[in-house]
Amino acid sequence: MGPARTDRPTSGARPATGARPAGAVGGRPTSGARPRPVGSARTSGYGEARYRAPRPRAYDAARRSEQARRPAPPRRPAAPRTLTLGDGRRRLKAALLVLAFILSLFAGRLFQLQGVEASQYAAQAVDKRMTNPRVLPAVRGEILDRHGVALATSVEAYDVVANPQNVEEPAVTAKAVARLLDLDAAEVQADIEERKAKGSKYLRLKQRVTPELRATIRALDPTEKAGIEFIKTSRRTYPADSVAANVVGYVERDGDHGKAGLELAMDSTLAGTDGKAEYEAAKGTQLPTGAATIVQPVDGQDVVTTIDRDIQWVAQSSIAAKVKEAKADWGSVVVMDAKTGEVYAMATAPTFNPNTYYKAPAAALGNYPVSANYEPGSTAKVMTVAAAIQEGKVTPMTRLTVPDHIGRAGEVFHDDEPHPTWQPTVTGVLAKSSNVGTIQVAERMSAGTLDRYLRKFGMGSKPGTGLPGEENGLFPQVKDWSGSTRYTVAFGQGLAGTLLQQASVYQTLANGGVRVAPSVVKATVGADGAQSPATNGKPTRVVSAATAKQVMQMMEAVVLEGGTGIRAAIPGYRVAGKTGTAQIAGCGGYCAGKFQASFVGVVPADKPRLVVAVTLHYPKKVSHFGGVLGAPVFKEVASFALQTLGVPPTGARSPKLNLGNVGR
Amino acid sequence: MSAYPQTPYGGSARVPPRRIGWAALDRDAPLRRLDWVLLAAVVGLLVVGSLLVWSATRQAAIDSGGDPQAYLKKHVLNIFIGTGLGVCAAMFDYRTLRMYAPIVYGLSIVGLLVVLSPLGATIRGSHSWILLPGGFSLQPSEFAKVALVVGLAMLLSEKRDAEDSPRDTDVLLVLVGAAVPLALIMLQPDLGTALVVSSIVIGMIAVSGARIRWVVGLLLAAAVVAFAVVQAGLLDDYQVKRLTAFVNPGDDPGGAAYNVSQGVIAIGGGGLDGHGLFHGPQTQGGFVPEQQTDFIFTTAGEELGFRGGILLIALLGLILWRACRIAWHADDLFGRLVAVGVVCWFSFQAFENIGMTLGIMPVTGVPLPFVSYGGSSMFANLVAIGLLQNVHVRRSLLPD
Repeated sequence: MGPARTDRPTSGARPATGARPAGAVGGRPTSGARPRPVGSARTSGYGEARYRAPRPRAYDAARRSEQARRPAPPRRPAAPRTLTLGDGRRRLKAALLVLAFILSLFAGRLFQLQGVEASQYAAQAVDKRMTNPRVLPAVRGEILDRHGVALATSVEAYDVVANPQNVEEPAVTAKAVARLLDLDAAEVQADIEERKAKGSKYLRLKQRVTPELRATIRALDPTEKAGIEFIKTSRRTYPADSVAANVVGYVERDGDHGKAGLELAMDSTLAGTDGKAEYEAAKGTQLPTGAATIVQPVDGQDVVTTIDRDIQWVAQSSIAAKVKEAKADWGSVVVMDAKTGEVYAMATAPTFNPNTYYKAPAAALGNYPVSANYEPGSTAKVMTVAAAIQEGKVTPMTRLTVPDHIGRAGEVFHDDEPHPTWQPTVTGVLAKSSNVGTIQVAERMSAGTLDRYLRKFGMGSKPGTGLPGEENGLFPQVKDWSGSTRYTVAFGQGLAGTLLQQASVYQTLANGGVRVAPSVVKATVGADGAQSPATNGKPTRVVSAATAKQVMQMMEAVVLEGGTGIRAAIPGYRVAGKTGTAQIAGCGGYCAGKFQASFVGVVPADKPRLVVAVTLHYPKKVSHFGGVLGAPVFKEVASFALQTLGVPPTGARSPKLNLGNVGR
Repeated sequence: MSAYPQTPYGGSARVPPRRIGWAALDRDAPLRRLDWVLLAAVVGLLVVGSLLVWSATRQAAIDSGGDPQAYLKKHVLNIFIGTGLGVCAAMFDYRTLRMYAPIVYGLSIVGLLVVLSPLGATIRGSHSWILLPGGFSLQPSEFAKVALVVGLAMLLSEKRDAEDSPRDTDVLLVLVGAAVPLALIMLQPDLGTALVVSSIVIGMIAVSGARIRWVVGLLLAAAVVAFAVVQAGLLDDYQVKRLTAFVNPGDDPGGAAYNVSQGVIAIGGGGLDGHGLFHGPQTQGGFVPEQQTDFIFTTAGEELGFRGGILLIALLGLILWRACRIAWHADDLFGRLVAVGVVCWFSFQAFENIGMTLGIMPVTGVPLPFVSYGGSSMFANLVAIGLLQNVHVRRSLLPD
């Protein structure tokens, strides 16, 4: 078509200006008039020709190119403007306006929410998601033996709680969960429904379940487990069961704090400091990007004990067997390092399993070596002898004349068994454990001197292990002594103390007269692995090294042929020790037929490494003598400990000491 | 350019033989005639929508140990399938489609009947789905929208000689034709889709040029029916609850109003800048139910902020404007009515969907076009775009 091709680009757009060249071919004379299609090839009956709406200026250009390719549509008479069609387009226009209006309304509402009220909603959002402040439990420290073997440890556990608001079907959830948690389904359902109604978000179902049980619950159907949440915590376990149970103690069943033993004594060290968390959460899980106030917990420190688990185990089984055999009320063993006072084993029978402490009888829970006072009897005689030697009143070879009984302060004191009058050396008195002989030795010192030495040996004061229930013994002040007290204390009656105190006496003598307070805790280990050694009391000299050595040699005679403690002899090793068979106080004086059978010994005697103290309370069978009941336990435990610690025999033989004339 | 002689006006002369490659770029080539602005807006919504669907579903999948991109992958697959369907819908002349309109309409009725048969499945209170093997499902009511638009356009543009506007009998026929699928949809029951269908019907009748009394009458009837339905308890409990929750959100904070209040909190919490994609606490915490489908706008509001929300509204507005423009320039009444039907459909869904998340419209479940997750809806939307382009490409002479 001619006109389209020759028009200038601008001419169609501004026909009214008349800017078109005069000679333009096909130029339309009617400037401003719309081009009309002339003859349309298309069939649609409602083509553009019928519409009278103004077209944009660019229209003409497009139109021209259209016409360039196609035959021009037939020119039609301009249709009269029909109201209805015009209405359709007008309605379309109106609709577009409405759309635009609604869209801007939405934009406004969006701005209201996000621009004007945003901070309010943000606060509301955080508030809705914020959890109640929650304790982040610190992991309780372990209790270890001296080689790092765990005696008490904390394992991963979970508290099972319900958020009643999220429980969909209380009946279904209660039924499923109660079965797994060993709870009453009806009760759980009632609790959930009650809390749900109250708007509570928290219901504790069960404490400290295993990770396995948690996995089982999490595998339940979505409806069953809806609203069930887990709070990570820890559960105390004692992997060695009853080994060292009486020393280690236990943590309260549904709590975090120690109730006995080291668990109680070292509670603040072990417990650490709980943290606190308050954070945005969804379905119990913290939102990674949410606000949070979190105080991290400080885990508890580990406690390294001086206990050797193996020695402890042997000590326990050995004393348990003997207590059973002798039908004793209880029995205890203490194994102690002769130089350092560190306790390798502190065994008690009966004992218990701390994992199920609540099932054990109360009598099994005590730590008798530190908590049970008893009159030590003959094992205490070494103190009298050592004091007398130290004071220069006797030597091991000092000869005495010892009948089988002696009257003092209106009372008559007997030896264990009747015998003709002996002429023993002081060594002989110790070997035969003669009460009369010991009284004669003690008589050479003043009451005050004896009292002073006994107290220096630790009588009447706590050994200082820090274990709960540690007794300081019953040792009256010298001014309160009755007339007979200075005689009875000389052979270990009229004063009471613990097995640990007796062991400490022998440790003093084995250590050249220097007493080192016994200890059970070796060190504490922080989370960073740094060890802080436990602070022990200052070593104190009680008697001279020479005196100690002399008494040690005298004690060897006890275990030799002719001594009361022959059953304590360990082949290859030199053993020094002392038997003790004491009457048990009570019953308005001393109980007839009730005895405390003890043996305390040191090995090797010539190069002391170990002190082993054994006592049995009220044995009713076999015997009541310390030499018969205590000495074999000593032998068994000490032999094992020597092997375990790799203590070689010294190769020396015990000197044959002159016991004097002691009959037989 | 230099290979061809220059015309006096600076365009390249069409000198045969022309290369095919150039033909595609010709001024009148179908590709050039497409409404690219409309396509750009659709692509923009699809991209943003994919990101939002991803963000709304990722954390929950991670928490449950699933594939964090599972929803995203299916969503993108849906987009591709839908694009294919849309291209098909744009390819053949829409005037041919007019001939097939009765068949399309009939198929949609069959689809809706199948849903009501035992083959249908109930999801979230509506018996609207046909489950297919492989975890896929179809929602025939979405396709019914397309069929209805085409079918009603056919009926309304079927005019007698010398008549320019539909006769009253035509309008009546339209109402009957619309009543059948509408009734089937209400039987599911799917209130949201029923409302969309109603808006399509009223909108198309209005623009067809039918007498104004039809338009006014239908609007009045719609209002009366809505009131009566709520009053007479014809709706299921959950539907009434969702509707009235809009009026009193405090009534039932754990139930229907929960969605609204959590959604409004999410959007409000987003502020002007948003928390950033994948960082919205309400979204990632899974506080807003149905967030990848009906409440997808809350993800935009929370994570992309006011800017993101406005972007979505602007893109939807752009689509509606271009669709209106296509209707305006359509060669024939059939084409125009198809375009108008799509406008009514998209605009009602957009208003209802965004409005309910903003707390200014009652809650009914309709997806946000091109943004919400959901295969059938995505297919239907893209087919609708294909139809718009079909009408647009085949317009007679229009400015670019």
